Amino acid sequence: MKTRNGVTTGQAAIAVVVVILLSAVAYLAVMGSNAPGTTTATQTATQTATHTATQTSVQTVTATVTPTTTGVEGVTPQTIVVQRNAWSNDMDPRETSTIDVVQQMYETLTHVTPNGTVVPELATSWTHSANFSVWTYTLRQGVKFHDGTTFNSSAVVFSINAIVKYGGGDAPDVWDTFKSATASGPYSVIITDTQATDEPIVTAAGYAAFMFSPNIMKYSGAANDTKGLHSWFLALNDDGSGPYTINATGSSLTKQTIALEAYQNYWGGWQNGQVTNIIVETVSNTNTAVLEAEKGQLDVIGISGQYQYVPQLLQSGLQVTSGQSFAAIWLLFNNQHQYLNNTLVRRALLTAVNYNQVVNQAYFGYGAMFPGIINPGKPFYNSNAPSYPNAGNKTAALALLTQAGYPGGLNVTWTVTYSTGSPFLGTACQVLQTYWSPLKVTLNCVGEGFGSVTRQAGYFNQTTGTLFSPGPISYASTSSAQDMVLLNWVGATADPWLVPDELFAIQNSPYQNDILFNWSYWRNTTFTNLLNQARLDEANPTVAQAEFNTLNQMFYQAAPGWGLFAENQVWVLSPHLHGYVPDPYYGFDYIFYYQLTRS
Amino acid sequence: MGGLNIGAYVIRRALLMVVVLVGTITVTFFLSHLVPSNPALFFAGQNPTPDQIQKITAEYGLDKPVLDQYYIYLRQVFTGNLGISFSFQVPVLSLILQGLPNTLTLAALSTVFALGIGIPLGVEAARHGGRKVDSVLRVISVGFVGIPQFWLGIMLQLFFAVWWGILPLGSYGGTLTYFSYHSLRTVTGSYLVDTILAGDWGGFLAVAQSMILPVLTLTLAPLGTIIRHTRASMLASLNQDYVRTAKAYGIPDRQISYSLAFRNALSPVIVYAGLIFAGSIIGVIYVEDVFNLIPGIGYLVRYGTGTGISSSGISGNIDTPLILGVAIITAIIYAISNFVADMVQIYYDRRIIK
Repeated sequence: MKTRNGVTTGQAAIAVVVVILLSAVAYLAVMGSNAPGTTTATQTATQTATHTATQTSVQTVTATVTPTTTGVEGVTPQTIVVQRNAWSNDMDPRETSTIDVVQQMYETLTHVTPNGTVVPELATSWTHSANFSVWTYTLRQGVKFHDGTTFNSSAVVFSINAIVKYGGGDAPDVWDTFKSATASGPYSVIITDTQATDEPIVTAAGYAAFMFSPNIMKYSGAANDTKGLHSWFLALNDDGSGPYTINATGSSLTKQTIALEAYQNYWGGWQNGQVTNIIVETVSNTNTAVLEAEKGQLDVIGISGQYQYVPQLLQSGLQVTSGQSFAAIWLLFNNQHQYLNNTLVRRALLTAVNYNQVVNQAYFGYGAMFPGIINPGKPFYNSNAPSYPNAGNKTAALALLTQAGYPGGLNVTWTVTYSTGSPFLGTACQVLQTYWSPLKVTLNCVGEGFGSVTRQAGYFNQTTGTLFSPGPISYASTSSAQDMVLLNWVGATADPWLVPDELFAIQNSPYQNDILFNWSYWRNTTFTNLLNQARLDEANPTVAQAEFNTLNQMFYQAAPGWGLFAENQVWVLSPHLHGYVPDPYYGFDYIFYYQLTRS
Repeated sequence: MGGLNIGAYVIRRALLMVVVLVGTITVTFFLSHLVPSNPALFFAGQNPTPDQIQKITAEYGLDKPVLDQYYIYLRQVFTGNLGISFSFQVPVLSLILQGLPNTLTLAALSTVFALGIGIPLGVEAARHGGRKVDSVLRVISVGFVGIPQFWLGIMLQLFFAVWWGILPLGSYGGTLTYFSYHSLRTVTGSYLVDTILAGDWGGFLAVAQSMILPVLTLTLAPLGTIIRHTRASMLASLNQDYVRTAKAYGIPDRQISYSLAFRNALSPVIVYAGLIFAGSIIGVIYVEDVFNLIPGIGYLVRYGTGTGISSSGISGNIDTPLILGVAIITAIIYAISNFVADMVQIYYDRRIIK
């Protein structure tokens, strides 16, 4: 039947559907000219005039990898699929924190084994001057970078200078005592520092200590070795000496996939069974990643503190590994606020906490309490350092409060901030609520973005409105500052000095009266000076150990904050993978896939 | 009446689109600048030094007054430059163009299914008003509207992928590495459309199969809404005098419903259809995450809001250019959808331009 306008009602209904479909298709058609392809490249050229961002990974053909061939003669290909919970195309070895991928392609001069022993990697041996400020490295021969360039002293000098000059990421922390690097022979390099430094630890750093080809400028076509080269790395290129190299056609920024393949000329050689191909896939939803692993689609996943999945993963026959990491949860008191500026009050609070409960409830038991200022496993860690009772002691806590002049409790309400990026910190805060309740302390647990936490902590320039810009220490005593903060923290290097320096020391000049990450606002000159001295003395272990022991004692007595527990890193591995050895010296125990074999 | 009025109406609506877009840019820009954040965290490692922060802040012009930044941004937008993403460090526009085709495909499919199934069911519910069919459809539609998508997606995965194993968990092509091993020429950027254009029927089936659960997740809520809207609109039409007259002339009920009453009932449904399509873009953001559908706009939003970055707890850092870019594109889609709906509405009912 026709309507008044001669249109059937059936046609009317269809028309609506068709209009929507056509608009979608029309848009897609328009996209066709803009999406992956030539037009996009043109846009990039104009848009990157100032930032030189890259677009080269946009492809007209969806990536394919060829897992049946590795390029390594006589070795059977073994491919694994690895989950990454967030995409990153930052493959710049000079500054990146994407070291879970980058450490597969690049190597360092030295390497730290899980027990803390420094062993040769690209350097075969090293010696030092009497004052530990001049180090001579003898380099490994027969190593070639992925571009075919020979690894030698020129490469080392170029790499270190490029890292320091670029100054990105954790390089300033890693190389903060660096003075110069010079070639003293084709396979010999002298590194000079401004002060005594445990250089083999520096050259083994997981971040910002990788070696790369000095011919990288030529191969990259970059106009300069700062931003131009950075753009080249962002386009998923590499030029290290490590066992894997990026498979350019298999990697895709669009699909958020990074494919790595075995570097056939790797100096360490290849054997049957070793993992030769790695496909890194972005799966940000942990539940989905768990299900994918159970179905055998993912060989390696990290479950980021969501350890409630462990029983079902084990039930599915997957391996769940737990290894020590150097990340820890730190509680920082605002030492400038009322009551919290009293040492006895702070000690009472720490005495009341059941740390077993914190680690069990917040982290499903995948962590360990530790005494003092140094994470377990790091150099100069002392398991006999003074500590608060693991199970907490309410009576002792109340006694301390009485001693402080607050018999029966404090009758106070405090705000604890934490980053929602680590949701388990909220659980930890709830446990604190429970154990401080008998002390008549009420806690408001406030989870925020890390930016908000930082702003409230005062690492913020009120005048310019710039975050992560030093703010005056006087801010700490205002009511705007939080009373306490919970931090999930890991240092860029394993140097035991670094974390306490960042969190509890008076900052170095010109920031001595400023707030950076020192959110306990503790102003103890003796502690700060001794900490800096201990760092200088690290090359002399006996002296340094005694100093760190004293620092542990001071930290316990003053209690400006406390490490609630050191986190374990948990990986879920396919039952077919073997050979993983946790090594806390490398980020969050990131896996070196070259170690792994597949059965 | 006639052409002049329609032309004026179209121009008015088009101008309104521009106002909406500028408003969206303005509100989103200033809101995003209220959130404490600093791109230095994206570039300067885990524990940035003040010097690094200062350098990067100046480099990105973030030391300029907010109004200056707004003016610069607005000028950039109107030249097609949405800036550089802090987290991806590539142009925002290219990221969006890579993700949008798949996202639009999901939204279009869910809208088509919601309308294609929802309108007839709504008409039937109205025709059988107060009877068993109507009651059942009302319960179903309320149920569909009430089911939260975040729960539905996981349940569908659990039943169809984990327990019964008849559909993939997610990922375009059904496995995480499908397109690592399967070559496909990119034409539109939508996997579904590109497999058709390439005549790659194996690829098409794999992609289509992997989209069943996501589309189902996206469709149910708007389907329930369409059923309810169509039913209500149809009931109003069926109570009109002309329907009674038609009945008096002995025209069959079904014919009256689908030919006479339906046409008049369609107008509000069309308006809602436009909103459903645009609204699906929002739902897709969640669905793409659960079903791991990459590339898509969902991932960009996730990263842009900082929820995709979790190492060391340094998250919640806003990628302002990315968020602004996605907001602008979403606003454009909303505006275009509504514009199209308005135009279709005019076609069916010219009284609205009076």
